[in-house]
Amino acid sequence: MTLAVVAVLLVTAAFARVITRTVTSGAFADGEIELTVMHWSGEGGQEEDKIVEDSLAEFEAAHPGVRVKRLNPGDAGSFYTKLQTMMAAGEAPDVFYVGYERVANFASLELLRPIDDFVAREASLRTSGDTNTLDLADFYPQTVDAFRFDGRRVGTGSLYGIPKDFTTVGFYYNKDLFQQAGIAFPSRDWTWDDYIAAARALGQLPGITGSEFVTWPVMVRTYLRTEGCEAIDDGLTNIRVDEPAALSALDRLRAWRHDEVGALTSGKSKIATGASVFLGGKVGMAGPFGRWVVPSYRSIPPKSDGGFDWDFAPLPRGNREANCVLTVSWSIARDTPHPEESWKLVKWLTNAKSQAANARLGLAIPTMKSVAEGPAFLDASLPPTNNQGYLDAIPEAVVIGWPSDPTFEQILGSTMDQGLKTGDLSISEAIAAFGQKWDAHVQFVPGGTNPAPVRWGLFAAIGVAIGGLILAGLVLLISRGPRERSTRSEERAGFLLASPWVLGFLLFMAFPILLSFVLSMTNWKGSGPLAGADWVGVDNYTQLLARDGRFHTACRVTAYYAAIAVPGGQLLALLAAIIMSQKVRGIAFFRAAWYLPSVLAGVGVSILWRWIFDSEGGLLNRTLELIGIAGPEWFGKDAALFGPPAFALMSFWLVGGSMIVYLAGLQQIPRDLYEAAEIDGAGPMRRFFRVTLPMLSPVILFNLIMAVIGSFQVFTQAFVMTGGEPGDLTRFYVLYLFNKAFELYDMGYASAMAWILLVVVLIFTGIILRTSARVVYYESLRK
Amino acid sequence: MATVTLTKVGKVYADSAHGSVRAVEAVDLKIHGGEFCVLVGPSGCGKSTTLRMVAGLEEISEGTLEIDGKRVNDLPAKDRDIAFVFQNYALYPHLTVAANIAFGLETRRLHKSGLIAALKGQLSARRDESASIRARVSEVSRTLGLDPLLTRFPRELSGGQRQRVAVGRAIARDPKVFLFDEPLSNLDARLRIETRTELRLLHRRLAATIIYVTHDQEEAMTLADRLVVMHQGRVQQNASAQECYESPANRFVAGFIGTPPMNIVDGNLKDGVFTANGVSISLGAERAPLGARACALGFRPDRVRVVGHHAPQSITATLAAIERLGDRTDLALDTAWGRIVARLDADLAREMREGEAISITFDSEHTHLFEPGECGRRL
Repeated sequence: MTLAVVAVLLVTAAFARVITRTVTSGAFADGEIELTVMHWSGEGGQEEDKIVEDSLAEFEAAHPGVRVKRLNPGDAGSFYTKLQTMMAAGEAPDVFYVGYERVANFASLELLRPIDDFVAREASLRTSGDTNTLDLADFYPQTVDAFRFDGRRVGTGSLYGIPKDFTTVGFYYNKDLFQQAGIAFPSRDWTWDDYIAAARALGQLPGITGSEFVTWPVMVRTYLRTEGCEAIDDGLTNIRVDEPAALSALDRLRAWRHDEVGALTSGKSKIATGASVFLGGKVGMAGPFGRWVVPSYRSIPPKSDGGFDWDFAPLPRGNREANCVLTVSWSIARDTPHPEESWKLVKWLTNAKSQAANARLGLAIPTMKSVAEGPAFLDASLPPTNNQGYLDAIPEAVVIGWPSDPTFEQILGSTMDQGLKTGDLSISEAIAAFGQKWDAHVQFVPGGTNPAPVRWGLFAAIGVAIGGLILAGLVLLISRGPRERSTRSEERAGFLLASPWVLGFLLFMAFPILLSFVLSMTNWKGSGPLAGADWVGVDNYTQLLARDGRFHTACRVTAYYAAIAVPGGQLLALLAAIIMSQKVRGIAFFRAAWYLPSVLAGVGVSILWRWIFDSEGGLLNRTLELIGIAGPEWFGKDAALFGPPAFALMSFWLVGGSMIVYLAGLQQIPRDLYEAAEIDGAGPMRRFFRVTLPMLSPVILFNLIMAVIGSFQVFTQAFVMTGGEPGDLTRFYVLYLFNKAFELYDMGYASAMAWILLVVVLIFTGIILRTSARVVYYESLRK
Repeated sequence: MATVTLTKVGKVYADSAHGSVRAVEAVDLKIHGGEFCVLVGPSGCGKSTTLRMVAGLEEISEGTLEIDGKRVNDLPAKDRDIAFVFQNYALYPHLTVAANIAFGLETRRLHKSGLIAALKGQLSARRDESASIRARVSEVSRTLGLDPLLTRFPRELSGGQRQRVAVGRAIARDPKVFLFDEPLSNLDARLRIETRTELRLLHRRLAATIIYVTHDQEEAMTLADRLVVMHQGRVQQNASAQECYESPANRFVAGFIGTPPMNIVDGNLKDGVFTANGVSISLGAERAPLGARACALGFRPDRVRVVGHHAPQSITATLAAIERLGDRTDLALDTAWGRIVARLDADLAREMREGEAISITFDSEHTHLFEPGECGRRL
């Protein structure tokens, strides 16, 4: 008993320590302070990582008393996930990257520190003779304005970061293919007509596709701007993409992609799309991409080494010239305890020297005019030759404004996918769907216009009351236990031994589960303290069930998948188990081979399967081709019909787990029964249906329930292979949940979704248990 | 009522460790129609394997098996028209008692699928068939007293009830031959004796050919018209129970049949006098022609008599243990011939105490002589 008291005290103390700890990022005994810096290195790879590392080392050397801790979670996606987690935990890094498209969101969530005061001070420092000052006049104004936010829209208002670099976009083209096709290289003022003419000419070459055209939301919106159209009005509230000019521009793009063969890549699947298709030399042009592809394109060997020559051309013109600015800043966390040092660091990381280092890497364009227009960027010893092309586009380039709610971009992306990539909707249908979804989202104001804050005190009281009741019940249970001393001490020992698990369950499972239930009735964003959440009642639930089109799609996708994966998988597992239960030489090897996929890691395997399902050149479609079947574009234009089945096919690869359970079940069936049935005149089929199946029924039930639950929880495969695309056609339930929780920061909404999933799983399990009661036979279950 | 004939039947198992293992060797056996034949022997003697070869559950490696004069070596189990009752009953746990009994009939019916029968326009024929199956099931269940249990599941039955269902399933089809593989060994002692009697009665009522395997020699003797004693894969004796008891064909049978087992002493015979460990007893003039030879002397415990000290032809013994069984008493005696068991009327042993010294003798006409060795032939 003493031991139990000590254990409880220790655990309590540990929790108290965690809860009461103040954010003391680095108060060192000798007065040293520590700054945490976080960044990513996606396209820049190890070199970008190294540039930041070196720059920070120099900063530390120049600033005694400041230590810098550097975090690099990898690509931008992982970066934002980690940043989100750190912010929610109140441990945001002091200085970190922010992409221009996130500024509105982060600033409106009050996560970033405005830096106007520092910038203003720079001017006075400069007049007093300081040479190491930051002068925004030397920056391209669009790049700076990209990080201004006035509480409603980007472009004006407070400054939330110093842009470290940026890019404009255009097409990369294969010079050799242009020469082979006998057409001129793109000129500075080429138009979309020139572009499609070139693509068509290139497409005539054997085995060559004219151009890759990515339809990311930002690229679609930039494309629209070249025709003088906008997707949303200046106030960022009303959609303008449904205006006739926009519709016709999009219809033209759709026609190029869908009605022509050879001009544009079918590229409709995520697999075949993206910057890398250009590397193989089978695509004449690729874009619209910014400067970030240059490091990887520089790996293309020159023509003399079997590669090809390539260059960059800014975006073609429509009825006017237009381009976009994509930029990333170094920003400061609002709650940093060391704003002064952080600002020094931001200045350091965006100074001419750092910008020049990045420029030499080729990854982006320096935001300082003096650096961009100097040798560090324009030096053409490495391709592309047309560095000036990026700069030429700047005067007409603007920052594409996004509503602070990232849902806009998501919905635009997924509906555009359906219009432009998979083509299962016409442009006007896609736009209409976009309008509906966006309106439904905008009109959804959980908790009304003036929601009350969550009464955490009440819930804490309820929680304490429930905990107290449980404790009282437990005490009662123990005190009512056997009277004898020896049994009682045995019982105490039992409770003591079970207590680590019970405590762990209560703290790490029960508490978060109950908390998530409360959260499901709030609008908590996941990035601030819980105290900031508002009470919205069942609004999240009604929105999900009644109005959220994406949710309904996710349910449909998941149900479609489950309808194939569960029966198919179980049948296959049972068949495999029957085959594997034969007594054949080397059967152990085959059993292991069947089971092996189940122990392989999810992400790596998913990447392999992405290659298998690749619509062009993937193993599966190649094989189908051999037997004369044109394989579908699994995750491309046929994704509505073939996407979920593709994941089901992939799940069949993992039947080994179920198979092992079936195998164990099969070996439990007494041999006598088969012999009795044999003597009774039953053939193999009858023996299977009258002996094997009934005897296996509890195992089948177990496997079935596990499979149904598992089928509702598809995540890793879809996350890695398609990310839910195209157009939400492979966005499984949990993937949408993840999207809402960790990409759109709508924790309350996502919690509601989790609870709906729980109820659905319970209902399905209940139905299965109910309906199976008569056909499942338990030998040991005596009545 | 069918005759089962085994001619030089053998079973050889391929065994990777030892080349091959011979489980049954050259069994010659003719079981007449309506005969209750019991295969008995210690575990591993090959009796179950022999039975399973008859059933068709094991392939016959050597020799021929005939049922009613027809060679059935290569006939699958279901076509041999036999029924098999398993030691664990092997009832289908997911079927009711009625469905268990009907199983064999259902698999053999002409119109299995109602749908197909409907398509062929033979629904009424199928209905008749179903009715006759139902009638047969109720007839069988009446015979075995299973009526009140028909809708129950095996898990809801006691061991004895399950055993009867297993028998019911066997007799439902009215097969030519019934095969029982240790059917009573999972029952408790009292139930075993009751069921034994029921089986005997059932056999008389059905007048069926039965081959029955057991390791329990008492059960074997009470049931058998013909007793086949097996050991090490071979038939040691094939005769009536009485004959096996009274004139065992060899030393193994002598030791195996009878409770308590026969006392067997290794020694030498010369001129009708048996000597072991310096102690001699005359077996009479009729044994003199056997000459002088090494042999084993056997006599049953109930043939042992207690005599006065130093009576002629007696052996001195110390009472090691006394087991009083009510009407009779078993004595374990330490003698110059080793441990000897004697069975006396309880009255005669009433005053005896453990540790006491007595003298014993036996009638020479109730002794058996065997050649030396485990399976030494009867002399």
